[in-house]
Amino acid sequence: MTRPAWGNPWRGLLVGGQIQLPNGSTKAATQPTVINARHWDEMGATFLQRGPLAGVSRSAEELAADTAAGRTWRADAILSGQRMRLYGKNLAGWIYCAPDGARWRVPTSAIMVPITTSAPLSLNVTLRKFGEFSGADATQVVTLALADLQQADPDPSYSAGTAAYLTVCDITPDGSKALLMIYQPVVPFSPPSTAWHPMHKRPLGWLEVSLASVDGVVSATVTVARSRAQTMGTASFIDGNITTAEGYIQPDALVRADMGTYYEDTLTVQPLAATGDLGSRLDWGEGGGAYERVISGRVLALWYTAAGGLEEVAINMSATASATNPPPTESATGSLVQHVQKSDGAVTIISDDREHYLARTSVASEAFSYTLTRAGTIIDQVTAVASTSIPQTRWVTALGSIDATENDSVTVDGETNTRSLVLGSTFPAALYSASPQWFPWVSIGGSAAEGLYRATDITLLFPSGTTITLTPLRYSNNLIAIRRDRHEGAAHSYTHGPAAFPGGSDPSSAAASLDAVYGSYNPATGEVVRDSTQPVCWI
Amino acid sequence: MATLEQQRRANGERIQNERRANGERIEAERRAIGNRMVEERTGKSVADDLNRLTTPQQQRRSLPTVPTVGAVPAGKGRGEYVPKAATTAGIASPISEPDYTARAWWPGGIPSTDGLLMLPAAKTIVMSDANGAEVMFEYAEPTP
Repeated sequence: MTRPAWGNPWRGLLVGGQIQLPNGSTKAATQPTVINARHWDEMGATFLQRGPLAGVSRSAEELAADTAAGRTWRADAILSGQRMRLYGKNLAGWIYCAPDGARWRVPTSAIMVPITTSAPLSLNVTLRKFGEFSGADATQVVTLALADLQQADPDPSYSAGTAAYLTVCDITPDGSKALLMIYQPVVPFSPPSTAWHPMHKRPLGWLEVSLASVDGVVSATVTVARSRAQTMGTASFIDGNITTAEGYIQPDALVRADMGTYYEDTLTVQPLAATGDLGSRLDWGEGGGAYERVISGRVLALWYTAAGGLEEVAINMSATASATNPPPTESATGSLVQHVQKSDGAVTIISDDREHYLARTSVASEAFSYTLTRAGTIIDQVTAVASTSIPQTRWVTALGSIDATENDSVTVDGETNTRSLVLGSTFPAALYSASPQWFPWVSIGGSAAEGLYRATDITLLFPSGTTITLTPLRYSNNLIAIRRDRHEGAAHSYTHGPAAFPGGSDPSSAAASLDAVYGSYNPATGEVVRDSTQPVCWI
Repeated sequence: MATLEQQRRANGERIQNERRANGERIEAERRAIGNRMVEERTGKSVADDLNRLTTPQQQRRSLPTVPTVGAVPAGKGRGEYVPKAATTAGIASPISEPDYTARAWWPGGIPSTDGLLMLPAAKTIVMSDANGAEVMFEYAEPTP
C-alpha cells in the first residue's frame, strides 16, 4: 500500500502568475513580491524545507495519474520569494522542525529589520506551533542575542558605517539553522528613489542562527558566520614609483669673431644644466615600476550546501601594470652662425642647424581579471590585457612643442581594439609630468578600502571609447552572476555570464536586456531560470 | 354486618374448599408414590446413578450414505425473508459516539509529503451500541 499523499502537488516554475506544470498545463498562483522596493532578487528567492517525516510513495498507476494531471508529489517544499510563500500564502517565516516532531514557525518580520552594527543584537522572536490540525495553539519567545557582531570597519579610510539591515538568505531544510546577511542596499532605501542596481544588496557580514529544542522549549544561539573583515576580503593598491626630474635650459654659447665691418657670431647649443637658474626650467616624471589594484575574497553570498556546510561566493579582481618611464635622452647639437653689422647692427643668419630635444619611449602593460568564484572554484572570469607605447620627443629649442605618438592595444575577453594616435603639441605635458596615467584602461576609482566595499562597477575602457562595466548580478538569494554592460556610443548592451548557485553553476552566457534581471534557482531539483524580463520563482 | 344466613353459607363454602384441596393433595401424593415405584421396578434411577460413575461406551455409528451417482433432479424451493433479530448476541445497531473528547490519538499522525503538516490520526474511539454496550474502535498507527 502506498503512503497517503497530501500537501501541495502543484510544483514548477511560477511565472506570470501561472505555475508551469509538468504536463504542459498551467495553474494560477500568486507571484512573490518584493519587500524592499526594486530589490528584484527578493522575487526569485527560494528556501528548501523538509520535515523529518517527509516522504512520497506512489505506485506506477498513481504516478501515471499524477503525470497526466500535472501533479508532482515531492518530499520537500519550497518557500518562494523573500516573503517565503508556502501553500499559496505568505508564510513570512520559516519552519523549525524540532527533534521531538513539533514544528514552529519562525517569523522573519522580527528578524529582517534595520540594525546598528556597532550595537549588541537582541531580537525577540515569537515562535508559533505550526502544521497541527488538532490541539491547542502554542507560542513561545526566543531571543536572538549577540553582543559583538564583529562589524568593525576593517579599513577606516572608507567607512561603510554602522547602519545596516538583516535579511534571511538561507536556511537548512529542517529550519534549525539560518544565515542572516548583514547588508546595505546599493541604492539607499532612503530617500526613496526609482534607481536600482543589479547587485541590490552589498553584504557586510553574516550571522548564523541555530535553534534547538529540549523538552519542547526552543532556544536560539547566534554566532558570527562572517565578520565584516572576512566579508570584505583584502585589497592591495600599489602605485609605481614616479620621481620628478628637472633640467635648466642654458643659453647658447657665443663665440664672436671680428670680421672687419661685421661680427660673425656662432651660437652653439648647450645641454641642459642639472642645477642653476640661468634659464627656464623643464621638469618631467621618471620611473614607473609595478602598479597593482588587487581585491581578494570580497564575499558576495553565503549559503548552505546540501551537506549543511557553508559555501562562499566571492569576487576577486586583479589589475596589475608594469610601467617604464625612462629618463629622456638629450640631444643638443648644431649652432647658429650670424653676421652682425657694426654700422647698424643688422643681423643676417648665415646658417642654423641647432637641434635640442629630449626623447624617450614610455611603455606600460596591464593585465586584468575579474573573477566570480564559488567555494574557490572559478565560475566566471573577465580578462583583459593592454599595452601602451608612447615614443615622444620634446623640443627644447621650441619650448612646449612635443612630437609624440601613442600606440595602444586593449584586449578584453579576446576582443582587441588598437589605436595609433599622433599627439599634437597640445598633448598634455603629462607625458613628462610627475603623475602619468598608467592605468588608463581600468577604472576602479577610490581607495583600496572603497574598492573592497563596492566591488562593483569596474569599468574597462577600449581605446575606441567603448566601455565595459562589470558588476555582480544578484538574481536571488542563491543565484549570482557577473553582468557586462557594454556602452558603445549611446547604446548599452548586456551580457550575463555563468551563474553560481549552491553546489554548482550554470555555465551559459547570454545576451540580455537591461530589465532581464529576474532569475531563480530551484533548491529541490537544481533547475535554474534566469535572464527573464518578468519575475520568476520556483514553487 | 352479615346476616346469620350469610355466615352459614360462607362457612359451608370454606369447609367445601378445604375438603377439595385436601383431596387434590392426597391424589398428587399417591401419583408420585406410584411413579417412584415404577422407576424402582424398572431400575431407571439406579442406571442413571451408575452412568454418572462410568465412562459411557462409544456408540457405533453407521457409515454415511453415499448419494447416488447422477444428476440431481430439479426441484423447487421456497423461503420467506425473516429480518435479523434486533438483538440476540454481539453489537446492536446503530452504534454512536457518546463523547467526542474521549477519542485517543496517535502521537504522530499522517504527515504531508513535505513533512511540514500533520493530519491527526485516531488511535481509539469509544462507541456505544443500541443496547448501551461499549464498543471500542482501535486503529492502527500510521507508518509514514
